[in-house]
Amino acid sequence: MDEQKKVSFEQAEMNRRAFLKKTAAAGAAVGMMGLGMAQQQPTADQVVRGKNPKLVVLSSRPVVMESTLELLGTERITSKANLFVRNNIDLPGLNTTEPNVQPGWVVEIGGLISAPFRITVEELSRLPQTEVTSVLQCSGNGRANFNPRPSGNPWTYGGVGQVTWRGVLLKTLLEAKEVKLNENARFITMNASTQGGAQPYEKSFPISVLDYNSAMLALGMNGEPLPAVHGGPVRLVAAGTFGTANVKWLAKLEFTASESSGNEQVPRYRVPVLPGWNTPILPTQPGSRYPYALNNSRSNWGANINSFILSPLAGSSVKGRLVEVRGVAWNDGLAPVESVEVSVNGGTSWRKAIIEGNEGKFGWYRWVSPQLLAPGEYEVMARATDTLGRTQPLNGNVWWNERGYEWNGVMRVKFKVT
Amino acid sequence: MKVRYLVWVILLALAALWVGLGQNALPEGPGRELVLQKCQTCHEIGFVTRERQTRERWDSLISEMQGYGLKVTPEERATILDYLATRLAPGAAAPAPAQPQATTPTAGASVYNNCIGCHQATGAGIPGAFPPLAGHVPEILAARGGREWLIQVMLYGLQGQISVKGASYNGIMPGYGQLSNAEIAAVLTHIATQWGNALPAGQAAFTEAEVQAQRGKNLTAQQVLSTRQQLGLR
Repeated sequence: MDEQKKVSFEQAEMNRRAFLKKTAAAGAAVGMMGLGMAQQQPTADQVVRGKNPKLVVLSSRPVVMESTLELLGTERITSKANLFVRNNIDLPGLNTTEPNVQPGWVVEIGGLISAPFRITVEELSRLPQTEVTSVLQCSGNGRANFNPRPSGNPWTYGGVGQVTWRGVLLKTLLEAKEVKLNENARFITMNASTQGGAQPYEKSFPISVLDYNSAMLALGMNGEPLPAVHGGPVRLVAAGTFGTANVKWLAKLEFTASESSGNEQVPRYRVPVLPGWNTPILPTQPGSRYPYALNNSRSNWGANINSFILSPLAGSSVKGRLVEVRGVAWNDGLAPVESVEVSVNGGTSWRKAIIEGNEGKFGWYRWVSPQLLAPGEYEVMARATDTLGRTQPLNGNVWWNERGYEWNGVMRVKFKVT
Repeated sequence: MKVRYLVWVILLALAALWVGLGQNALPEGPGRELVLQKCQTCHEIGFVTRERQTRERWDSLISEMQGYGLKVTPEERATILDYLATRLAPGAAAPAPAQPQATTPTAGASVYNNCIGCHQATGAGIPGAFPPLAGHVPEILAARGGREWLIQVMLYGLQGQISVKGASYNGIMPGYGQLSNAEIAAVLTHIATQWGNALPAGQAAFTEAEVQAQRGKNLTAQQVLSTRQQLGLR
């Protein structure tokens, strides 16, 4: 072995040892961190029977837990074990992914219609059923990215999933019952059950969800009865909307002239807008206060356009040079997602990803961007645009809002190529 | 070199502690007990401890909670606001880690602060939602397997309807597995000996070893409910 080679070998060996020590140290620290966290919160499967313990529990009462990008990347349709939960109320006995079997469960349909009526889940299950695959996302997803951090659950990216709903379209139900809408009906206002002394939960949707969002009384999810913790036996689902108004454990649905004035409708779950002005969100000074009212803000309804990078994961090491960057993109379903662009150089240049397919207009568009990358450290970014030109801000904080909703800033993922 | 890695490990561990404790520990200060009592009636305390907000924002958050049915006198409201605005202000540090259990004996009464939102300072509970501990805990302890079951309730929670002395209760008890064995033993001994309750003849205070023996069973709150049904309580 000549001298030069020997030196470089020794150097390499030293580096290797240093690296091993460092990883061992980091591993120990991460291990301790896990311990620290585990002692603070029960695991997801302890809070909700049937959930994957890898979900991150944000609250056990009421139940709030988020999935992880790693788990989301393993499934085309998010399983009930891996789907996030944001419950505002807890119905006793329903913290499980098993079905909620309550024969005779009644939904009252009323308000501004020709003839109010009551319908049981059994009757609903005998009406024509429709399936729709859609992205379900908490409007607070991504909140932890806002700076300064708004109040509320510190969601990272796991408050989202893609599931297939099955149920009776609200339009189909009205037709079957030969019920006509009063022309003053502008909203649908829904109430969750208060069974077992649960707090009331009331939300409104604009009536357009009947036509545009396949609004349905969902009885099933992913080919099974709707899990209890996700709103079984019956939940209002409007594809392409944020989760908040997709009311679980549906007890009452009314057609109304105005939206609910309850706490969940205002000030919660709203973003600032100028009255009558067509801005997505009215920009406000980060850290400032906003006097939320029905007429100066809007509810979190249609999902804004977004894209997530599911592979590589942040902090991972992948083998070069060919690296496939993969992810999903979605919007409110009003227009197709046209492109996803990927940058591996901090946004200096972008290249269109290949959109491999999508699960209908309300589902995820799966995309892949093959990149040739030399060994080194990278930060990859992804940005989706739809045919209406709607896209994501490079800096999501431009839409900072006091309550931290509707984050859709371009995602940045740091990883290493070896 | 070694020192550098050690520093790394310690820093990360401290960060982990900070993150962990930030979730559930409220800093000391006047009004702390009131915050625990009022806020935990409806939701776990993590919703409060993880926030860092201005006085103005806390003020409006309290108003929002009043909209949800929070009942406070003007004096209580002022005390709570002062506490939140000073102890959980923007930039406020997480509370210092608790002293190691060995050197400071854990007071069951202070751990019980976690419970008073639902079970009340008097142990009387809330009709229809949260069962009384006064008068009921001795019954549980006297039942075969009742002692272990009480530990399981603490570790894994309980959900579903139960009946106590003919009245039914349907609230949700979250698990408190995050508490140490010593804290759980102390609070169980506390509720077994307060409000006229007494340990049944032949039973001694709860021990850490007893609590440890129930950990790792990984029960769900429903399983804890069905175990209750086997205790033969009415």
